[in-house]
Amino acid sequence: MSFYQELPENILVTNIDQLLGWGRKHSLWYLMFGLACCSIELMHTGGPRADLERFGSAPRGTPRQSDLIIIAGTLTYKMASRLKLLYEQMAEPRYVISMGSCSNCGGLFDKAYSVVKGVDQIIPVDVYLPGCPPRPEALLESLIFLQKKIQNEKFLRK
Amino acid sequence: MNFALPLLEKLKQEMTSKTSEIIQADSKMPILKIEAKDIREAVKKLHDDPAFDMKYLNCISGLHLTQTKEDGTLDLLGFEVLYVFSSARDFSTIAVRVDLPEKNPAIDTIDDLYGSANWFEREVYDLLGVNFINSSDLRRIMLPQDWEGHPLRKDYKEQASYNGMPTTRPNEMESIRIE
Repeated sequence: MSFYQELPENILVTNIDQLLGWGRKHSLWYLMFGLACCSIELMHTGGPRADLERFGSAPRGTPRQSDLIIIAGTLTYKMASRLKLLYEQMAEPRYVISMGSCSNCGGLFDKAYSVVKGVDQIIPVDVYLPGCPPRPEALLESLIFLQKKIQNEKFLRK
Repeated sequence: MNFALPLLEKLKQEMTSKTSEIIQADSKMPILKIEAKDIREAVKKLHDDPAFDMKYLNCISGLHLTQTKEDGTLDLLGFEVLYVFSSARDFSTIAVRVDLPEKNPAIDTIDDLYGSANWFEREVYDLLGVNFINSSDLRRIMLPQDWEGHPLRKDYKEQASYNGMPTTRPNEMESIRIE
């Protein structure tokens, strides 16, 4: 009979890293940063059919309460300095989902004079989500992908 | 029935300089082409004279005129600024067009007559670099204030970087190409 089987029924055994990761991955509050048509899909994902809040991910109106920023749409040079300011106001650990072709690489506006050719030229990106715009299911999958990444992080020893 | 054409002919008659001409007379929106120095006179007449009663400025738009030469290079032919006015009385719409030279395009402002002209003029200044003389507030309206150049000019060259951000992205497919 192993050690685990001898435990009473209401005791679970885990390690601190797993427990912290489990808690952190289910409380990914995201900053609403809708810039273009991708933000419509972001709103759908927050709506009842896809429902991001099932996964503990609630929209916040301020960067100081957010763990995640979903960059949904076309980032212009004029907005880029604002994005950098918002990102720097977020408390660490902070995560970035780059949603849609425009924020990944400029996308449709590859040759435009005013569009940043990829958000990763401004801030580090954790998950790139392709699509123009991506469907709500795709955004959900990118969130689950990010949750897997957070679950496996060693938060206590860097 | 085109309401605008009689009005435009009346405006042409009343102008002191006789160099103006009506173009696109059979279209929905006939255009009176005038010289740049006459713009204040024409717009003042449209605004104040009850015979015209053009109380609404639809838009001011700009255009960089070019022609492609046989060897593929561009011949720069200057700028065109188009003013479109409407009357609330009979909904007639007329347009006044001004051609400006390629070097240092400048025209008198009309934002003391039409308050809404200021934003249109700022847009034309921002994207084409047409200077509106005596404007109350001529700044860039859409691009950042420290932007260099006017992007809708046909000879606009994009900067390599803006505020430390590169304006191009390497094509990652090139790095995995098999020779």
